[in-house]
Amino acid sequence: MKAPFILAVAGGKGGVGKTTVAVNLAAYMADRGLKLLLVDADVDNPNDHVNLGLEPVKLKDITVFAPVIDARKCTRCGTCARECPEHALLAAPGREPIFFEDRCSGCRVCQLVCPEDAISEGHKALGHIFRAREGEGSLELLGAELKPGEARSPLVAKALMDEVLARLGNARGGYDVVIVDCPPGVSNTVVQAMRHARLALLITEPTPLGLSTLKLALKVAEKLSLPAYLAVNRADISGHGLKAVEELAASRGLPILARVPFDEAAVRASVEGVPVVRLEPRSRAARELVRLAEVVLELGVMRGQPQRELEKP
Amino acid sequence: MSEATELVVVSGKGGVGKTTVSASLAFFYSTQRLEAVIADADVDTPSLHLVLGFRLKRSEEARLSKKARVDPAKCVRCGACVRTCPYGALEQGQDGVPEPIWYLCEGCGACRVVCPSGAIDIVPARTGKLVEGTTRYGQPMVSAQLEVGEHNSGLLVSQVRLRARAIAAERGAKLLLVDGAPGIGCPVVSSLVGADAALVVAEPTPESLRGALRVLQVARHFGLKTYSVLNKYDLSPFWQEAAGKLAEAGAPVLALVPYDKAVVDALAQGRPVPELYPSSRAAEALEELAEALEGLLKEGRP
Repeated sequence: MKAPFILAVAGGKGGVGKTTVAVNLAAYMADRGLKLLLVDADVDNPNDHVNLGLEPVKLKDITVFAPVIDARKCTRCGTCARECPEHALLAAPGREPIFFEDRCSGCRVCQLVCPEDAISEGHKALGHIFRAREGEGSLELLGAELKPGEARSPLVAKALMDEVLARLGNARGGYDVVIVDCPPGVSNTVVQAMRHARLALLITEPTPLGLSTLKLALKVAEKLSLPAYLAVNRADISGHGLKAVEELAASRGLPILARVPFDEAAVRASVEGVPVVRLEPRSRAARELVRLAEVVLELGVMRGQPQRELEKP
Repeated sequence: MSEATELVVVSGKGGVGKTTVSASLAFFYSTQRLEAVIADADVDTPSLHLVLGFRLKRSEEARLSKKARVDPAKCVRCGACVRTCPYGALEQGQDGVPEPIWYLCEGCGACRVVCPSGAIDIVPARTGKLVEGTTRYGQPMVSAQLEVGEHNSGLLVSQVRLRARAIAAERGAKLLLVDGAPGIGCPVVSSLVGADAALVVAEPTPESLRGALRVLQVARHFGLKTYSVLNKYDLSPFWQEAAGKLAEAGAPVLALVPYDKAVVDALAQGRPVPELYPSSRAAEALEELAEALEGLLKEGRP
């Protein structure tokens, strides 16, 4: 079975244009007839469907283990509360432990240490996986959303990527390209989103903030041994800033694949919920995004880079 | 002595102007002698120091994370830990000794519990770096940098806030201004819990508004007073509707900041916009915001 080309669109800073690039590459490639899976891994704030004007449907809940304590078996020994690394259980004198769901990480240590086997499997929802498909088109969107008030984004991103890998392992998928729209930052959530990719496309903007976070994003790619490429968004807002980004890229051997100009067409596209390559294909931003898509395809699919074995979820 | 009011600047979606707003507020309050302490709680990608300047006073390693460590001499290669690990973070190497995968291990200790030979220890690990200093404008500031791939951004944010609060109490500061992280997850929850008020920065685009409403939900869940500011409001015909939705969700809009090239120019030079372009339209709107917040502060409302 042919393994699809997996591209991670990442970059440390929020709002530099990761989603814009991911959605436009996906729309253009799908319109060219490639079977495309767009993965919205920005689980704190998934927006790809908004930018594509799609209505997502919930596929499944993402849950983790939570303890259910059998009061009849519990001897109030307090072992679970002592061993819980998150202090989510409180040993109450004379009664079974009090459980604070908000603190529980689902690690099961309580269940493992209970000498009376009094703790059974319960569930706590962290968020959900959703799916959307463009009518007749070849673009499918899979994403996940963290439940507001929950903090464990990495587990939600991991559950999403496990679902993606399950689909890729299953011949029905048959995708040519998988584009993962990664969350901002450098935390574990980002690592979960990026680690299955074959290539990282980093997005930045030519400001001191963009430059500083690009260095961090490069660190993530390096730590994952991912070949990285760069696209500069709003490339023309600061000549000085662009020069600084170009110097960093040159010193790190980071190829710049595109310089997308600031373009009000992109703002209009965002307000309309239509990718700019579709809404205003002749705009300057759209033309550069199309060029970027072509270069990425050449790098990935057409040149047939060594394909990594798919990991088992 | 009254405690400083803790105001957290958040947005849900990234890149809509949190740092621009936080830096401008910090600048205004430095000139108006409203004693403030500044904290950067975006520990993934801290950037406030790039705009406010930062003179380092103290730096320390934060070792708040935990990781499993396997002692090959004691390991009996039974694989119990590999089967038990809830995060799939242990893999048996060729010699049969399990090797923790750095980005998956959360240090929960389930492996240690099931190991029959006591070969696994849970050891402290580096979460990041915590720094303390002053801004170019003389305000005390606390910031941090999360280690790449780490889980515990929330713990690091808590450390930043604790340190900043201690400084605020020491100096009798009136305001603790916290620049938050994007998103609604661990670092954001950790920056909101126990704070007094949240200022939500939003743009009038559907995706920014969605993010703003999500983080508002979290802020209100934790009992914070909530306000908002609409940035680049004139880029969209949709702005009145956006302002209405924010107000309806409990975050009255304190100011409308227009799209202004001055913001980009100031950012490119690493300075707050009201310092370099005080008479720009954006700086004027940001000053209105600073005054509105100061008014609320004096009334004791936030």
